[in-house]
Amino acid sequence: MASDRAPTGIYGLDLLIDGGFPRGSLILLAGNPGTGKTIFSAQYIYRGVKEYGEPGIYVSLCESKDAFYKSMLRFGFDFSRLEETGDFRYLDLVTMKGKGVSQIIRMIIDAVYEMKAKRLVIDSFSALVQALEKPIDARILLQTILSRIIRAVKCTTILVSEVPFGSERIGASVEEFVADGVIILRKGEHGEGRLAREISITKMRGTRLTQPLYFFTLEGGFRVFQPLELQKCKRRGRFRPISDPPGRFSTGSGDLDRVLGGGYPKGGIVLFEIGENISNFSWQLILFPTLANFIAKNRGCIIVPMGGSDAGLLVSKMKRMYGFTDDELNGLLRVFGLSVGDRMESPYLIRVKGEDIMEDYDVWVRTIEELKNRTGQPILEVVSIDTMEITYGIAGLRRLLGMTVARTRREGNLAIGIVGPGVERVSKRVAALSDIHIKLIRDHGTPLLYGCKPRTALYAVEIDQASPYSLPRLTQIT
Amino acid sequence: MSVRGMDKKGESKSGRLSPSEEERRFIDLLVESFVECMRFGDSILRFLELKYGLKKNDILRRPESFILGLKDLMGGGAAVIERLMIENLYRKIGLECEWGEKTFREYIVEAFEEYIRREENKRNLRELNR
Repeated sequence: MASDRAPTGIYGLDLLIDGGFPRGSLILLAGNPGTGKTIFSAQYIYRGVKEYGEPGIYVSLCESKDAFYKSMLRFGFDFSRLEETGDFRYLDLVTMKGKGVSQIIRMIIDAVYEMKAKRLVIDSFSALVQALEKPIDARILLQTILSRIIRAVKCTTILVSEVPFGSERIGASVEEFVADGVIILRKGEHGEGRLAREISITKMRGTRLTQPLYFFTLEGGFRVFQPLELQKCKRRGRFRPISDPPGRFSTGSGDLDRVLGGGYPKGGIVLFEIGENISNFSWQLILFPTLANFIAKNRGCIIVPMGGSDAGLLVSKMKRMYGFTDDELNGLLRVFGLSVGDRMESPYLIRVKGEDIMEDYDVWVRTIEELKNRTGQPILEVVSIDTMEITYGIAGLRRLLGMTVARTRREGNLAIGIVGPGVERVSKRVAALSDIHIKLIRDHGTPLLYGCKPRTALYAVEIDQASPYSLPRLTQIT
Repeated sequence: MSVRGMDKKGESKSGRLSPSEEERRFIDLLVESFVECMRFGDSILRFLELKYGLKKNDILRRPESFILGLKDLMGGGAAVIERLMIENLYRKIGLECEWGEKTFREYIVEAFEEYIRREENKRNLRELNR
């Protein structure tokens, strides 16, 4: 990491700004109330002291020391203990506002020198400006006092700026010109009217900024989501099944189970809608744990794969991602071969002609019965709606849907339909029949998941790094 | 380096001890002149003290160092503050400031000597009237 950068201590942020804030810079952190400015600032100071050994000062003109220390404990920041090290000081200047800004600035300068502080937060600059006599003083204070003094002592400083709801302006407007960096926290609308936390890095001196907006969460501290493609899990542990809650099938992912209130309903129809720019790995990360959970419980699975995939690919992924053996997959997995790519012979490949829907449906039903008789357990059916529409046409698809829905409900199986982008008409039809409707989209470079039925919050999709096999980690960003 | 008219111990060239009370008052006038011509001037003075070890009386005793510290912090803006400060100081003493080729030190020393002279005159006048 370059020494002319001060690591921010904000998870994920340093990767986006060349390793941290330019050392000795003045960073303006602006946002509406409740957007996470104080948590960002507190984490910058806390991790700066704890992990980078840089003494820090938190100047508050808004919150008493006791209230701040108490509220930060829930993020794991024990400022009381940090203070005991001598490398942190909280300047509670709430009552000082009436004594004049000069006095406050002097106290800050004294503390910075005394502690040889490398990090400083002024929360908030807006409150400080309110105590000024004339509007022009804000410019003088910022341009000739704070920015120059801070640069001279190389103390990287965050100025918190409060933006009222409905306002487009950041503070007195001079701040954004004088500051070396401007970061704005806000809530933006995504996923059909869901509000998501967004961080915008609009200015950062000497830094190449590639993207205007990113998502972040406050769960477990302030964390910015990377706009990167999900990387395949290299570990190859054996999948461990999750028990089914009463009346439900577990999705195989603890996180997705929680999002859906326990999993998929028994005898349920699930629509899984995939948006544009979603990689195969991203949607498989959500869907494949359900397949894995069925197979690990000795339950049969029958699949009509999406275009571009075939039986061989599917089986090798299930082996690689979840550690299943050929014997297990041969016994429990059946993949319908409508693709020209399915040339090889194997126990799991079921060839159909794709010409007569009723003829193929009979094969489908016989396969289900064969699996059910052998395992004595419910079956998971995963069907690519796109593939079905291309093969049998819209009328054939409708007919098939009607039969599948009725049979699935009657037999207590689970049917999951997958729809790719560009087939909204089909999606609407399937959505009307489904018990669960999940959408996977991509915004600001981050895969996002949300439930339309039942309506859920918006979640960022990542790989669960703690798991020995491929599982999604879903973090609420609303 | 000492201010003209004084050696390092603060004694004037004539060998008499400089009037410390008057010197203190003059330093107060210098500080006032600076603080009045610049918003948050007291914060700047505190910064100069912490960073360069420059105390208030060093504006009189080490004017070059004071100006150097100010330039380091304010860049080109220091020259404007320097001029405003001198104008302000001369006005406080009741002197007319004539801008020429003099350095900051020379203006300060001129003002100081004039201030001491005027204070001495006032003192002498008071003693005569007694």
